[in-house]
Amino acid sequence: MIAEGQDFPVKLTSIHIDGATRTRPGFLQSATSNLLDSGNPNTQTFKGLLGEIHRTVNKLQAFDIFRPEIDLDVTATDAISRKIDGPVSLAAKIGVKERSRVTFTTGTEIGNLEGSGHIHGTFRNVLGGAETASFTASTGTRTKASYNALFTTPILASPNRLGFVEAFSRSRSNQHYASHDQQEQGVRAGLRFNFPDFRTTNELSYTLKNRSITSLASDASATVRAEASDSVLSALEYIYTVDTRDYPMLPSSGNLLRTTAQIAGWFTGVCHTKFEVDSQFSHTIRPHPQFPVTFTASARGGFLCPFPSHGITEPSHLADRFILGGPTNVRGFRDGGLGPRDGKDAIGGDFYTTLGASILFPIRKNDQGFPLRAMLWGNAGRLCAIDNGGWKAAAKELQNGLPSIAAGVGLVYGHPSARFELTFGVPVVARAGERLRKGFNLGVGIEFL
Amino acid sequence: MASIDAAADVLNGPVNTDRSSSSSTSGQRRSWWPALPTPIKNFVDKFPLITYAPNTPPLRAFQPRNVPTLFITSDLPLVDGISGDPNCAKYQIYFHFLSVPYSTHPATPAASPTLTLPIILPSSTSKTVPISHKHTPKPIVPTSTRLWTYITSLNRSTRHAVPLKDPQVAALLALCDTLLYPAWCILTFPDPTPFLPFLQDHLPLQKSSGAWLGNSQPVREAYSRNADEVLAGARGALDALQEFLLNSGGWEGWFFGGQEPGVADAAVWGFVEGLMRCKWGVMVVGERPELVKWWERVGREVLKRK
Repeated sequence: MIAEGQDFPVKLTSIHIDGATRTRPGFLQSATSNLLDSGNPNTQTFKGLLGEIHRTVNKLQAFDIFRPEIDLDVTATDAISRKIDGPVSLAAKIGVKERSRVTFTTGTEIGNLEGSGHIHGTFRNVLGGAETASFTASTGTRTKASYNALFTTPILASPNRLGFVEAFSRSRSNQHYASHDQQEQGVRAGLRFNFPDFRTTNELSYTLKNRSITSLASDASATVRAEASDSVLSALEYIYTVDTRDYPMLPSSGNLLRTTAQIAGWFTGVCHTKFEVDSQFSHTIRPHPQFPVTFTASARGGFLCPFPSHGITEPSHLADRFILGGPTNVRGFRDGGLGPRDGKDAIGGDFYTTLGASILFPIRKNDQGFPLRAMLWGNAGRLCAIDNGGWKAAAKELQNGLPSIAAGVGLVYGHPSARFELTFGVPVVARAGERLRKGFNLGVGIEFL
Repeated sequence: MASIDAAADVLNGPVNTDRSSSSSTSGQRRSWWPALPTPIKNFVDKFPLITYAPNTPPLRAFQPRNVPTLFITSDLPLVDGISGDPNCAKYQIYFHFLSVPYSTHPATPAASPTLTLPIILPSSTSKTVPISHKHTPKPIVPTSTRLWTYITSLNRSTRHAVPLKDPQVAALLALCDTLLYPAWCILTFPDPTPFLPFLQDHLPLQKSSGAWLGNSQPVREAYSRNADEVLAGARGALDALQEFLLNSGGWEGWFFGGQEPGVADAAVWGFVEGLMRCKWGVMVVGERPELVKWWERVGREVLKRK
């Protein structure tokens, strides 16, 4: 058949899936319905059908309920003859092995400025429709304790359309920059739509959580003391992400755009709109095979704007305000080192902008395969608060002089799970009171400016 | 992990950095990181080249005040500016007794290092939110007689009040704290014990213990006792207070015969004030007319109540 060409007409008459004993037939039928859709132009020819089956197999794998090895067998259901009028009838047989329904793992993770250990339990295919229930307990250097229960379910039998509900309780130490711990308990529910072809993710969620500013240090500032309280956040949030970077930990090409929009204020006293944008552009400016030089530029920004509830506009809460500074965002400043302060505590700001530029090149020629680079970097950032002057005064303040700036050199190692940076830098421009980090600094994280 | 940290004083030098980092350059804190050669260190010390004025604090930032600030519970309404929590009201009225100006700030027990209110932030000479740690006021917490002593120290002219160290005063304060406060807790707040105590201990689904006075340790302790016994104890304490008052010259005098109101008067007034904001208190305190008259008189004379 192949010798005679792959464009001869076919018709898939049946699909048989072996081995899916715990998966609902209705779910599998939905997941493979594209193959039997007579109106689908991709299934009209043998070549198109093979491609469609391949995509369907990938889709089944993406549900994460089957083992990676999936057998595929396509056979003709009647005698094959080119003299027969009409399409050739075919039957597909897909052999799968279901993954273990329950998995428990322990491990360590590295996040932005944080290392943690966790115990994770996953219950796959809970209701036979690729639903997943997972439970995680973790503790780390900054997150003292975190408990999370998450339930996800595909929507319309697609791994790229997910609904999720989670309940969480976590306690995070902010003692190193603001003399308190922040506890959060709440629930979150939402929808996530992935568009792999466009490397785009859309997420719409609703969060209801209680935040506690607690366990104050004995020398906490008056502002932190005054804000030591509970507040309830009820917020609708939309996150849009496009990430075309080739290797996020050490990109040489591609872009990142992530926008987060939040509106809070249902049933609670915390009423605000919050918007953040995070962008990165990477380009190889010297595509030399032995000594490529890469340029990366980043820009981030955000604002937090309280709005009135019952005629009263509550100023922004410490738990909502932005915190800036540290090796993963504005290098040359300590964690939470930028922006308004009360004594030793960072008390956050209502809007910020950061800019970063770095040039990376291999340490030696012919070394580009090893993810270690030397780096020249420059970072700038500004974190301001809204005071009695309102937004006009705040905008004026943003234009008041240069932003806080730091520059330096460094070494970068891009491990697949985290990026490690050893930098040497100096702050060139700063505001009085901002906490500087001169000289060497070590940064570990997954997102850098 | 930095080998060099900023050394300049935030306020004293043109180059402003944080105080906490000065210790590394002075050699007090030893870093595992090798020190930089002196020429490089001298070069680095020249930065930042430009330093602007401090950032403007957000609206919710606590603005320094030129009078002491009493952090009082935000969970109860104020009447004539006086908190309904006896532990806060007694210090407020003591400020009034001494004619010491003060301000209040609504807060939760989480604001206090001991998770109990009130605390006092001393007055500040600064007019702006401090950017230096050394200008952060240290709170004065209500341990033993510390708050009384501090407030008294703000006005040294009170020489005719009964001294704080008088054993009778100490006994009266203990009477209020151990017998009246638990009763007030039971009368004011619902039982904070959750339906499933396990959840409270392991999954903090309720308000955190430091965030609400009604969930604080004194309230829990009060509810761990027999309510009838607690209320009976409070009746007995009120009887004793009225007895003390009668022996001190009645409703027109001050406790223990003082010529000026003192700590004992402030404590008793604070607890009566708290109890008079609940039905049980109005009824039970009302059965002791001498105490009620005295409480009303203090309100009229000190707070200008009608």
